[in-house]
Amino acid sequence: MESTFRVRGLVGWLALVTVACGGHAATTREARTALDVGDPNEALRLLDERLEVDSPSEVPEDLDSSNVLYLLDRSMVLQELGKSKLSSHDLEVADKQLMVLDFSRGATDELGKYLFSDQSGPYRAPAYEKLLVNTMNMMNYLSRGDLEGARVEARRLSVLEQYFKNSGEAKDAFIGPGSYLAGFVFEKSGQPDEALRYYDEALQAGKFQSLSDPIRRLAAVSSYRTPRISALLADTAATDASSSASPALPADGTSVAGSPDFAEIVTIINYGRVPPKVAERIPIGLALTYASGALSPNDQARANRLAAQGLVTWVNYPRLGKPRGQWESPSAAIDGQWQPLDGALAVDREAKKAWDAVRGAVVASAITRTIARIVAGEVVRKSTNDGALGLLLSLGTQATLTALDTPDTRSWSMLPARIAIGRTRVRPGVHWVYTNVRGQRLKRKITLGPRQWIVIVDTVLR
Amino acid sequence: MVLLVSCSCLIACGGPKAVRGEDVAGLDDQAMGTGLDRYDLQKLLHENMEALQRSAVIKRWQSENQPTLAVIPIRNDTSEHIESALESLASDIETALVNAGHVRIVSLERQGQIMEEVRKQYGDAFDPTTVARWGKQSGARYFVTGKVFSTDEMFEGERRVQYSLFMQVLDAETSDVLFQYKSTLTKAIVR
Repeated sequence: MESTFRVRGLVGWLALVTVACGGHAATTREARTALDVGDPNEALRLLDERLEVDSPSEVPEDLDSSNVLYLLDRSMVLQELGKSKLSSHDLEVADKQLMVLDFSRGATDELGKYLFSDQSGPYRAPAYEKLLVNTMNMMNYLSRGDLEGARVEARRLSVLEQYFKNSGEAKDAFIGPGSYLAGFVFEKSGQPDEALRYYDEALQAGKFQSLSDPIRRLAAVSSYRTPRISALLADTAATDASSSASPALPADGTSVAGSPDFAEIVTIINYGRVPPKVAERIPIGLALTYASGALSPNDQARANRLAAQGLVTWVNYPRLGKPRGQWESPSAAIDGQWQPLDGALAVDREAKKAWDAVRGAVVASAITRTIARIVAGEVVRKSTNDGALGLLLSLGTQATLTALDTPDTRSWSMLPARIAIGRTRVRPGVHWVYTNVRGQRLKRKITLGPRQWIVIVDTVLR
Repeated sequence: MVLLVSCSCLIACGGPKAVRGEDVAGLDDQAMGTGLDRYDLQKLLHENMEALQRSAVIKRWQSENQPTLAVIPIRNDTSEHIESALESLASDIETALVNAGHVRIVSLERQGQIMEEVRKQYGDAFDPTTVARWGKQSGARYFVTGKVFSTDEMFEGERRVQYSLFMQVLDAETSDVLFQYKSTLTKAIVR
């Protein structure tokens, strides 16, 4: 009987260590696997289980770092399932909580990162994740035709952009899709100046062929100009003059010119998944290479010395896994005619860039912790005059510290790898919209009146 | 026994529990975020209604023997999802005006077409001919409307949202602005 308890205790301890070693990412592996096999309902059930709630409409009372990340993941699964209101709710709760977590992170958390565990302290989301919270929620509001809610998200995005620009964290690419959508929101809200300002920001981030026609229409009623907008207008005018073909034909082939009552269909396709972080043990030599420049000369020398003595051979650290679906080409057609899609953002590439920027520091902290464990063990051993008991206590100290050391694999792992946007003006009436995303084919019948618009959001996280 | 132990454990652990406003001193006064709560709404409403009471439009209403008035939903031009708070504010304005006895309130809630048009007009200023049509359709002689703006900034781990509520009284026939007042309020997350 006693041995049974011992075995159970050992199994429990091993389970704890295994979870601790895998970190947050290990707790979402099953849900990600469910998405891989095209079962978002199962992924949703597993995330609800993690959040310890009975339904997707519930939010846990305790909104710690892990639960906020589960909420972010759940919001994307809900978007895939077409439950945009619930997705919005999760994103709004997580948005506020991310800010609180960010603001509450203090010096002791940074110290803990170097002494105990990479995962100590509240989660600090990288800039691209924070900006995508508002971008994704703008998609939710637009899919419901709710311009007022979308405008709030556009303004929140602007506040964050400004903050990141001031702090030097934001890169242009991050703001591409958000600014594109914010421009659309203000265009449809009848605020052409504001719309052009956002479209200009989107053009700063990347090439959006689908913006040429809207910018030209807006420029006819607004005097807002920037060098980029003026250049685009000049290019379009030159193309029109030299080409006999009619410009930007709507799906049914009718000319846009002189057709203010045309309706508009916007297709947003979110597909694939960003690379998750994965806990990994790497040889100390490789870790020292990664951390070169981020490690103090003293720690570098100490780590080399311990490695030479064979006391440190492996270092636990979080590695970036593989993205999914980034090479896929989604397609969209309206009434049988294929529509061009702009590649709005390669989220997986931004995730990799963000990771590469901090990898050295992360590995450096992992090496520092490893050294601290060895040193702590040595102190215990020497305090007991190098006896057998001291050796055991030393090993115990190191084992405890190792078990506590969890590589920080926290991230918003259910973000799509890529975002593509297409928009087409169509005659008022009935239209058929086809999309093909990662093998998932959808066919929708939509009816639009004069000047009406619809935003279709297809999210496939497989 | 098990229940007793469980309960004592829960109390000892200090987990979350539900409370009533009157059970905890100052619960309604404490800011929980940068959105607008009941305390903020009361403050904004109080300032605006006081200014309205002092305005010339009240004398005009008194001379017209309780003319009809409708409250158009307040436009949210902020960076916070305060739509439900603004709906509550519009209802509070209706209540305050009815209880003051100067006007008779016409509710727009059941006038689906007008409400739909109001929402579509959110992007720009109200068109005078449209306002006149709404007046005829709803039977309102005057409209109360408003919009809330915000200046939202983040800096070194702090966030500050400065709200400005503009309240207006419009003549339905002419779209003349008969009263306008701005009240301000700041919410923040500071260290």
